[in-house]
Amino acid sequence: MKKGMMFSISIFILLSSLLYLAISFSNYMTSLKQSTTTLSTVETMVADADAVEYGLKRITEQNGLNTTVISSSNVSFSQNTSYFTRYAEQITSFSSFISNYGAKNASIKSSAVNVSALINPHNITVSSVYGNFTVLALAGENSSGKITSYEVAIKAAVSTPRFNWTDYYGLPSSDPSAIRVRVAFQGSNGTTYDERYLDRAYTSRVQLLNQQNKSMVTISMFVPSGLWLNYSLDMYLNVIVGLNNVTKIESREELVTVDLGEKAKIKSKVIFVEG
Amino acid sequence: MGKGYVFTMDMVLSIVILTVFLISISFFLSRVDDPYSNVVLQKEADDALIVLDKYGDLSTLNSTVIANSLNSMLPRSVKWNMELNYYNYSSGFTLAGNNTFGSAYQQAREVVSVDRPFLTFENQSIANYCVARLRVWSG
Repeated sequence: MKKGMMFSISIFILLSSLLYLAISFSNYMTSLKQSTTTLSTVETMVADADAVEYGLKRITEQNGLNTTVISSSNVSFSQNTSYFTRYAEQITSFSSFISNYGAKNASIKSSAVNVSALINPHNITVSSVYGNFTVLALAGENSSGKITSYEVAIKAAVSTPRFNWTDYYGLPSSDPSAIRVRVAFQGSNGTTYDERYLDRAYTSRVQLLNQQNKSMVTISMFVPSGLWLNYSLDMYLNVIVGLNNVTKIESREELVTVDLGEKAKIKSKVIFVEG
Repeated sequence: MGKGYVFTMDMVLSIVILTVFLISISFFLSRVDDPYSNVVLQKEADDALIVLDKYGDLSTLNSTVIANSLNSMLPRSVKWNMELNYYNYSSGFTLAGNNTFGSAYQQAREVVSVDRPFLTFENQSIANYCVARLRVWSG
């Protein structure tokens, strides 16, 4: 009787162990399936974000603001100011395309139609709308203090203008507060340029006047080490900001969102130059 | 003698049960595909599309260029099929063309498919809005 009981209990324990093993194995397989689904979803989201970022980067390079780093220190921004409308149209149509045909869970922020870039690690913002091009640095050694020069080159199909400094605070080139500013203009009757060392503690301003003494372009260097171009004509514009150790140039805002509702959401910036 | 017989039978029975259990698990595992293999395939396909796009191969829309790059990038054990659809935009998107090339995937047991939207440019304007669909599977 006792032996029979013992056998029954032994078999019960054995079968319970088998059942427990089977359930554990089933749970493991289910969790494995869930984790691979999650990995796959994350992979798709990252790939979609990358595709949209790269599309935005290419449209910006072609029509908005072409950004390059020269000798890992100077940053060059060039644009054709007559392309602003086309740029905005292409951003809008690309946004429509990705939500209908490409990465359907991705979207582009509406402010992407405004051209802007952030220079890292100096936290210097460059923005451009028709009529205005601005370089804005933060006060401090690590931002405005890192700007050593500005080179502005303009090409337009108008008579070559003359320079008229309305505010001028110059310094010797050896002064640590001096910023070298070079402005060149290529017009229909030749090229002219002016190069000066300006005091970064004051606002200096130069106008480019046409033959009727009307300002076509006004360039201001304002505190702290900022640059503002105000213009009223279609032109090719190139601005080189003299810096050091540029690591990354990206969009100022997170322009790309991939949203799967409550499951997951990622936001990312567009990287124009890295490394 | 009787007791020994019962113990032997008990031991044989437990070995048989354990063997059946192990064979069942082994059989079940052999039937189930490695769930990570599809994730790895997806990663490989996504990476291949990123490289094709960023190196400018996709925007050529040239099947030979794209096929050569894919063959050099993907492992030999991976088979692929590429489908390109390109659209024009004029107040709406219209299909301008498509191109499918690579191995036939219809007979493949499990196919992983990834998409990537991309652009082609002409005179600094967008010429085509495109979607590349890359299907990959273990051959």
